[in-house]
Amino acid sequence: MTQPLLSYKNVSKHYNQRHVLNNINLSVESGMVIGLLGKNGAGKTTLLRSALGLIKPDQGEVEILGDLSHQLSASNKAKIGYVAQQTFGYEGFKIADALALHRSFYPNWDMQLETKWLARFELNPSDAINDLSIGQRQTLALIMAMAYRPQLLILDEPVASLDPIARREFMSDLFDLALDAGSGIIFSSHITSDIERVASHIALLKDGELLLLDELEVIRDTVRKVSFKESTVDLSAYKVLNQQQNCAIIYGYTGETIPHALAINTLSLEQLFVELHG
Amino acid sequence: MMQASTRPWYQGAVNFWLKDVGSASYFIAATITSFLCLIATGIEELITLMIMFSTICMYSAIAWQSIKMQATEWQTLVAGYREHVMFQGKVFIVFSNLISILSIIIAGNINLLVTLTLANLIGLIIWFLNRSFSHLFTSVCYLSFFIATLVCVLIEQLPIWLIPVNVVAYIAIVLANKNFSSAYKWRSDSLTNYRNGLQSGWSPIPSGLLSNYGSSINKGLFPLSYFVGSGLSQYLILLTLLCTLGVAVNLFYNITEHVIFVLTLTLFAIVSLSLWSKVQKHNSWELLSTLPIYNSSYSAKVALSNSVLKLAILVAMLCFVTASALSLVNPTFLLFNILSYSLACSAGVLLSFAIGNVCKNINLLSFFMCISFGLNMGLANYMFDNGDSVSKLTLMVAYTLAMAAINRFTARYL
Repeated sequence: MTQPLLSYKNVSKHYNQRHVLNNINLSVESGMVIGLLGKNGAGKTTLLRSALGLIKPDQGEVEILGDLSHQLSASNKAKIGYVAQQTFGYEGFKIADALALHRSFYPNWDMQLETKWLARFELNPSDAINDLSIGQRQTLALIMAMAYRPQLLILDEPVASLDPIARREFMSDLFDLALDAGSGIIFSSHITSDIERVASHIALLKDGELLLLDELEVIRDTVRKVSFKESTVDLSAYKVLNQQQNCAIIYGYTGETIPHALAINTLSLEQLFVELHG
Repeated sequence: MMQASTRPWYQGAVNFWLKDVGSASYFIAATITSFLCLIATGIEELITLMIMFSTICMYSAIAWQSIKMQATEWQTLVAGYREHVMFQGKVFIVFSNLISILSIIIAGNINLLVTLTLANLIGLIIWFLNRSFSHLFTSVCYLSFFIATLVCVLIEQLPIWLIPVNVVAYIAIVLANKNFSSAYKWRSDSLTNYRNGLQSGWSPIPSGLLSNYGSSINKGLFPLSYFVGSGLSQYLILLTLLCTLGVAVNLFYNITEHVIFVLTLTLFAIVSLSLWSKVQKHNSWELLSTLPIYNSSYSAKVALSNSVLKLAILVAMLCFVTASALSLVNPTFLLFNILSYSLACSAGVLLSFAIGNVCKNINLLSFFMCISFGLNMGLANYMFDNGDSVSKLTLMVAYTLAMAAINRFTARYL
């Protein structure tokens, strides 16, 4: 069995007596693309930051490339790519200067990739970073995170500020490139269409709990919305993700008939997200 | 396997230290004053102040970079990133100290070495505190500057035995920091602290303090208060309290010149802070010019110029009343001195804001702010001591009117 690139073991984190993360167990292996979905405040950013050792969990531990997350070795740091929601650190630099300094920290920097992506996303190396739009800054951060071909990519809403065309191109390129190199990716996003397009697995966070973690196809096939008149309907054979007076969202459905159910409907990822938070 | 880096130590230094506006304001001031130390070797009072100021400024620039380190995830994730930036800072500290030592050698005054060690101690406290607590930057910096200035002004010669005491204190600080602090740890609030500093200017005063009393002042000084924030009225109230305290103490001990020096220094420090805050909020012009009280963006600029004029008049009144009250127990100072001094302070305010109107480049602004700070300080103190004739008073009136006209004229370049 191969060692996961990233693994959370019983990770919990509290802020002001509120569970931000509650007993999270999750592993990222080579070739996996995990799309992390959850409302604002669900704990996505805390989860990703705890992988990098920026936040130390109150309970449990996070292992990343064999190191504990808060004891990352320099050699392992060079194998991790990270893009934050708001990139910060090279204010006052021109793009070319920032890239020159950044690449000096990475022995395996791919100059061709850098040049290609700068041209493709129309970033002028002589532009000052302070003058870039949020989307352009994010694009630069993505280039900085990808140009050394990391083994593990951790992306916190990486493309939210990009226009739809750039978003599509970047998502496609980014994930092709990462997967060709056998990397693992975990990324958070609110844009369910992006997740559906590129993720192999979905992790759904709600109020700090990992409500659902499975392959995208499995989720598509086995998650259903069951409508009924009476709450006497027996759903004990399934994992009930959310139940209201006349309907429930179940996980683990394999096509059988459910007695007393009025309707059993499939859900898109967006519908599932809305239903679970409705 | 990691390859050995061929990165030169200075790579990115210009961008980190001169193009980050927060760092640049301290770094440029430190660099200029360091070199001025070499020129001022013959004037003991001045060189003491300059050694203190340049060293603390340099440490403040490093403290600012420390806050930036706590705010960026890259310092944790990119192996060598933090070490690279902080090494540059250490080189600058050594460089600044070497220049100070050179100027001490030229001056041939061993007592200045005590000042230098004390400045390093204060600087270390600023730096090491801010390595862990980004929210303390403003309070620690300004308190340190204030204490350092008071030490220079009030104590004629620091005792030599302070040198080993300071050295022991360095070691204690370093050891305590190594064992008990979590230096440079990434914190989610550090970015907010950093951005607040850039957006609204650093204010050493807690935001709620005296705010109830300042609303009418802020209203009267609108739209300047719009750019500077509630700090403007807080500064003016605190300045008044400082003057009252100085006048009260002066009734028992003759500290007239010290009070005038501290008042002038605090005044121009406040002007620099206000100007800095105004410059940082330059993007807020769009909102101001859309207010229905202005017909055009030009009328908003004129209104801003008028509010600066009102501030200058307030400053002149405050200085006049304070200096008059001080002279009650020290009748060597004539009405001419007091009037000339008040006008010099008022003209200094107008000059500083006129520079802010014209300078778009932040580095250029920092440079000219340093120059005007020194000019204003020098002129005001000179006038208090020597402005005892009608001709000097007439010159000051003309100078003040010229500054008012320049301030009004340059408003169009905002």
